[in-house]
Amino acid sequence: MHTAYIQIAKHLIFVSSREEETMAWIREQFRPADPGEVAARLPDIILRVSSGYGKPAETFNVQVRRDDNRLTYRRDDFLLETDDRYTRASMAVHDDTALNHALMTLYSAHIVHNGWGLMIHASCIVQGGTGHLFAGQSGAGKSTVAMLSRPRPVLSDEAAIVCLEGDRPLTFDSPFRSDSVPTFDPEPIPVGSLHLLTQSLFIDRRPIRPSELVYRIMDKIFYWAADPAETVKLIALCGKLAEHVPAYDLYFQKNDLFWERIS
Amino acid sequence: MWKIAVHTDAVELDGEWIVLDGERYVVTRLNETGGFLWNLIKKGATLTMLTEEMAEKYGIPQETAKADIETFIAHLKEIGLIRDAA
Repeated sequence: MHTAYIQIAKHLIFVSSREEETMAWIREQFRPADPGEVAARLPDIILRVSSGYGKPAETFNVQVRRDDNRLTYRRDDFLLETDDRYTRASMAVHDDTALNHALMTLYSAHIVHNGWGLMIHASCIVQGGTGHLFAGQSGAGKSTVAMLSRPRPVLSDEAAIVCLEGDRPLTFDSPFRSDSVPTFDPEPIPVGSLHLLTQSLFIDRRPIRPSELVYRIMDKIFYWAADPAETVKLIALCGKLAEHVPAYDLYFQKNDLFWERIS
Repeated sequence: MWKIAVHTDAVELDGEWIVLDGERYVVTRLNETGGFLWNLIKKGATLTMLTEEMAEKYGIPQETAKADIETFIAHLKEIGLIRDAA
C-alpha cells in the first residue's frame, strides 16, 4: 500500500492507494503535509483511492444517494463513498480528472459540513498582500483574469478556497486548477474583495449590496447537494462572506486595466 | 397557522432576507416587510396575529395589511417555503 499525507488549506488528508501511479499523481498535485502537523494531530480526512473505474464523463452531473450515515456520489468517471461527516472516504476513479473532481466534491462537502468555509467558482489574485476573488460560471473569464493579472501571484484560477471561521475571511493556495499550477504556499491571505465577472467593451466596477451578493453567489459555490440539512448551511456561510467582503460587478476588457479600478 | 419547510435557513443583510430551501436548492429574496412576516410565521403566528402586528408596525389599516399578508402567504405556499399546519 502506498500512502501520503497531503494538505489542502488547513486540512490534513491521509491518502492511501494500492497503485503507485495514482499516488505519484497525488504527490505531484497536492502540497505535502507539514511533518509537524502530521505528528501533532489526526488527519481531517482519511481517503482511499483506486483507479480503473467507469468511463470518461459525458456530463458532470453527479448522482447522490444517502443510506443511513453513508453517502455515495456517482458520476460516469468516479464513485465516491463517504461517511456523513466527510472524514472517511473511498473513491474509485477513471483518470486524473475524475480524481481531481471527486476530491473537490469531498473537500467542499467537508468544509461546509464543519462550517469552515466555501469553495467558490473563482480565480484569486494577490495584490499587495490581499487576495481578490473573481467569480463566475465557466466561460465568464476566471482563467483569463488570472492570466491577464500576471506576474501577480495566482492562488486559484478555477476553485477558490475561502475560510469563513473568523471575522476576517481568508483564502489559500488552491490545488484545484485549470490552467495554472499551485504555489504550495501554506500561508493564508486575507480576502480583500470579490468581483462577479462580465467581459465587456468597457471597464467598470460597481458595488453589489451584501444581500444581492448572497443571492447571486449561491450558484457559484462548488457544492453537490446530498443532504438538505447540510445544504442549508450554505446560506449562513454565504451571508458571512457577504458581510465581511466588499463585492462588485466587474466589467473587464481582455487587458489588465481593470486593476486600476481595484488598486 | 403555517409550517415552514423543514430544511430552510435565512440570513438578513442590509434590510433584506435571503431564504435558502435546502431541499430544492432554491433561494428566495424577501424585502424588509417580507422578512418581518417570515419571522412571525416561523414563530407560529396566525393570520390574525400577523395582521395586527403588520398594521401596527407600518401604521396601515388592518384590511390592507390582511390583504397583503394573504397575497404573501399564497406566494410562499406556491414556492414551497410554507404549508398549512395540519
